[in-house]
Amino acid sequence: MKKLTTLMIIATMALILAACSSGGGAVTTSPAATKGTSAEKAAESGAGTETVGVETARAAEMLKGKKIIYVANECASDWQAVSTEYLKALVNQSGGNCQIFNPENDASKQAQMVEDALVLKPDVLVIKPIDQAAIIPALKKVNEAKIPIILLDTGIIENADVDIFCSIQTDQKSLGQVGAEYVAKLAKEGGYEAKVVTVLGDMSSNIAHNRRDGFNEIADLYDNVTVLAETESKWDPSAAYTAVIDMMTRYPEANTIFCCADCMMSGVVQALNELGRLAPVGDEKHVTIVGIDCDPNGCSYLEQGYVDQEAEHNAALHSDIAYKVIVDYVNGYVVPKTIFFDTTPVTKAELDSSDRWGRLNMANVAEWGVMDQDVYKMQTPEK
Amino acid sequence: MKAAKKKHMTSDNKGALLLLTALICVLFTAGTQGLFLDSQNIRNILVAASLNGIIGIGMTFVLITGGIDLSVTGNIIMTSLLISKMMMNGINWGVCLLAAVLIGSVVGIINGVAVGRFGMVAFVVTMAMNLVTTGYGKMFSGGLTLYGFPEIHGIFCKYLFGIIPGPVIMMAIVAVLASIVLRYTNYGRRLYAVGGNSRAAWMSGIKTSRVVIIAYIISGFLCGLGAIMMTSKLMSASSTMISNTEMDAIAAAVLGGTSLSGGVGTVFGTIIGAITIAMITNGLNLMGVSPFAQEICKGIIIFAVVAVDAVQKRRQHEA
Repeated sequence: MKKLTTLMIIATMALILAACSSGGGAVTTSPAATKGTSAEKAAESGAGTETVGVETARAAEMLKGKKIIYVANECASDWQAVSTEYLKALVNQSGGNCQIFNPENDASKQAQMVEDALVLKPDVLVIKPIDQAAIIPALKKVNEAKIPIILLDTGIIENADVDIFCSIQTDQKSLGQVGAEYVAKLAKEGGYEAKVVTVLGDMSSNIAHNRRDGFNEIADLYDNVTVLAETESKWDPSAAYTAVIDMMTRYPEANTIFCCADCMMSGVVQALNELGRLAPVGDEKHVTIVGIDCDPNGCSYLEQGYVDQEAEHNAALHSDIAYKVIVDYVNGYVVPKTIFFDTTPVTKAELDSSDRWGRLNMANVAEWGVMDQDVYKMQTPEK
Repeated sequence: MKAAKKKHMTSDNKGALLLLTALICVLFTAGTQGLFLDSQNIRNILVAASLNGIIGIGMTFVLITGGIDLSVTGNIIMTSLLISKMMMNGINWGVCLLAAVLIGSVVGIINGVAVGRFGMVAFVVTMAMNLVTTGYGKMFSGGLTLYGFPEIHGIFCKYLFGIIPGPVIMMAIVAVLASIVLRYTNYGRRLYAVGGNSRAAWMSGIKTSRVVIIAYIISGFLCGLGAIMMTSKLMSASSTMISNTEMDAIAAAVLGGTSLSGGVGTVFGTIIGAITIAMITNGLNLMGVSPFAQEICKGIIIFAVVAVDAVQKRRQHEA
């Protein structure tokens, strides 16, 4: 009976493993069924039917047979979900195959996954390092295997003996600086002193440090901005909730909150609600809130008037640039070593005027197609 | 009669695990068109299993006593950060290595005395110690990543004869020594006796508190060793370098036949458990299974094997 039970369990597990492999693998979209690519946009601009067919085929073959592996840092936030799924969709729609590896914010697992990825012999490795130093030994092995490395969003330590093919990064400090500038502007216009409490991310990450430092550097330049308190909240909304409750209780005179990432914004807003201090812009009870990312959460709160400004940290843009860099590399074009760009400050007024990544329908990532952006233009012709 | 049944039960569980491991091997090999058995991939699996194997061995000692050690992640992080700072400050490399195992052992002593001598609840004590050690490590390093070690520190992750990875050698050495202790020493016999029935062990003259304390010291010592391995592999240290290591270690031990209620467990089983877990993660990655589905698959597999253990235990109790 024991043996039978054991065998039944093993058989069940085998079936589950088989189901997992058939149901959860990397999406490979048939090029013929592809929609929403640049080919369709070319069609909209007036190209004929035959040209559309040719362009669709061409766009759908730009990465034909190429294998791309994206080693993320985690996949459980809006930012990462968009970053991974969008790049995967773009690559797959171009005839390539993109696999996502998720180390769940564990630096040693990420290093191990990079080595696992080498067994698959990818044509390009895209990575968002969790730890700028811990990933170096693994990246050296990628160099030895002569596979180009694209860094997404976060970099590695300076002077590391690693050859990076292309580094695509937002200036993380500018994300904090933009928030401080806006806080100072509002305080000047309103004739008051901005008393700020800061909700920090995970302070073991370089990103969190840069954002905080960026905000504080600008805040120090203005006499009408004072940072009263900072609390680490590890990118966790429930920790952010507790942090805001505690800081606002300790400093009831606080009238401004700087939230280092929108993944924590729901905690911030709910905490203010709990304290009876949640009010939209224009209301005399309003507490100024500046955030970072401008993800769906952030956009929603901007629209409702609770958040004053977001510093956009565009996940889709990073992946779009990575895709175009990959296409150019595959087609033999020279690509810049670093693509470094600033943030865009977004208030409610800017929300409706252009495509914010946080307003895109996340369920239809596969249909977004390539972006029309000015940061990096693909050199490979589509026609 | 009961002892024979217990031994038999352990053998059955290991047999099921080996069968499971073989089945997983076959499935993943088929699913990856043979890539799973690529020599480099096998090395990757063994390296990935090494830290979990070493920590799992320490956890096995603790689990055999009927206890648990949830402080391993914090212990490794704190020890890593402390020895990293020492290396960066130019302290002799050998002294840093010695410090690593000492620091780890000290944490083990504190856990062991609290649980073994004062009878505190192991789950709570070690969980608290995890918070203390993680927090101390972060405070000490300011939350920053430490790097810039002497080149020699990377030696533990080099390949012997260009083939055998250093971490695998470390795991093998620890496994052999631990196995000898468990099977052929008085301490090993006392450990099983305390875990099987601590009151009976005490009444037969075994100093149960000492046995428990030593088990936690072994776990802490191996955490120190784990810190050396991780800092050597990553040539850096930070509070995000590892996470949930205690859960992986417990899973490896339990998969390998160690009972959560104590008295049962082997080093060999734990090593097979660690390798199985590493194989599952590796294979699912190579097959391109979505990260979310991977968590479900891993959880179900581990749940199923633990369920077998629970069913067998219940049958033994009824008998």
